[in-house]
Amino acid sequence: MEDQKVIEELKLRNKELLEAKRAILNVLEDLEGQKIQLEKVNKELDSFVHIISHDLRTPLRGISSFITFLEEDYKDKLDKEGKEFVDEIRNGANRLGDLIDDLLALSRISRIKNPYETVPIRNLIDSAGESLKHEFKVHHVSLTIPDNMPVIVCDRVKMAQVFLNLINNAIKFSSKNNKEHPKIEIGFTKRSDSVEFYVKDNGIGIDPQYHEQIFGVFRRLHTEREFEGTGVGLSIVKRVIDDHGGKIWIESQLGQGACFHFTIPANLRPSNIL
Amino acid sequence: MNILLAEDSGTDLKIVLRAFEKSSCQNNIFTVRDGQEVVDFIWHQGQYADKKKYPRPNIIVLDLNMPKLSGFEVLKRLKSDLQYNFIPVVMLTSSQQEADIVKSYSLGASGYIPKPANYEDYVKMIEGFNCYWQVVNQLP
Repeated sequence: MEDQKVIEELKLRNKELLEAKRAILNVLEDLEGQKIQLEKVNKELDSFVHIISHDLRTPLRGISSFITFLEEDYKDKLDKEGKEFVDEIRNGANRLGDLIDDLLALSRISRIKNPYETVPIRNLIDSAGESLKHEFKVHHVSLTIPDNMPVIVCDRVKMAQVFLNLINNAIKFSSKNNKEHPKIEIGFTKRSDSVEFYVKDNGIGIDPQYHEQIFGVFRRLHTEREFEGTGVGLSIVKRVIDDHGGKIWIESQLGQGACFHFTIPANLRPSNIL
Repeated sequence: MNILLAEDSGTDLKIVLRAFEKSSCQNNIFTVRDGQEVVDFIWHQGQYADKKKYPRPNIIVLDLNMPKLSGFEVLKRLKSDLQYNFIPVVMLTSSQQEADIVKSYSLGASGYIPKPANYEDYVKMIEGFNCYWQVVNQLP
């Protein structure tokens, strides 16, 4: 009698478990459907941004070119105020051009997938230094890098962009430090599951309340007059790190420089090259 | 050098013509505004029937996105005609899509130039264009 009761109880539990399993499978199926849908929408959005950015270039080309024609052909007829208006239009057109360039760069980062390969990080930093040669010279930047920078598996092109953007950012925000020239330090720590890199500067620093915001697209904490740029550089960096399965964060206090940290997982493997 | 320039945007046409004017090389430029006009010009049809007035161009500068016939369609027709397939065609377009670049070359384009961002860059581009096609290169 007692055994029969236990069997009945077990049957009931089994039925409940089967129902729960079915419910979980349904939820998983729904989630998979939503994931596919989200990936599709993301792809469409990226492609939309790409097309719109290109379409915006055509009228912009007209504006900036005809401003030049106005300057060349009617230079003597414009008074001081007229020339100021022309300058304002040119500045606006240049700014719009920068925004379009950055939007395209952002959409390219999302759309294009390069193969993972074994990359000596020192090479990427050297090539960023080469691209920023002019800035280094003008602002008397000193850059400190350890000799034993690691070799990691990553998307070389995108990781080069990460170091370029972070170094460029560091120069920009430490170039107006009145007390000393910009000092940038790059370093790393090897962990069992990842490599953690950092890019540190002696710039103006960032108030902790804005630490999350700075990785958003077009998020800027300063006016264009204080620091040029569109606010896309750090969002590109974050997208690349996210794509690699890493994490990025900042340690900084206002007026005390900033240190950007990011991790790249150690378990990434080079893509098969045929 | 006789250049046939196919460009549907009035703004872009003014910019490129001014850049050609500023260039040190002399060119005889004919302009058309859509793909069908390119075909009419080359095959001397309709308003372009007068062969003396509208001579065969030494080179064609072709926009990709044009009304009536696209740059690709024009390129296809031109390169499949034994009488005219030797005329070099250089694409001048806003598109920097890899697929468009590959398709242009596979259809027989001799060059692919992305439209510069502003007039100053147009002037530099036209200087380079003239230098290559008139000085360095030998045209049929």
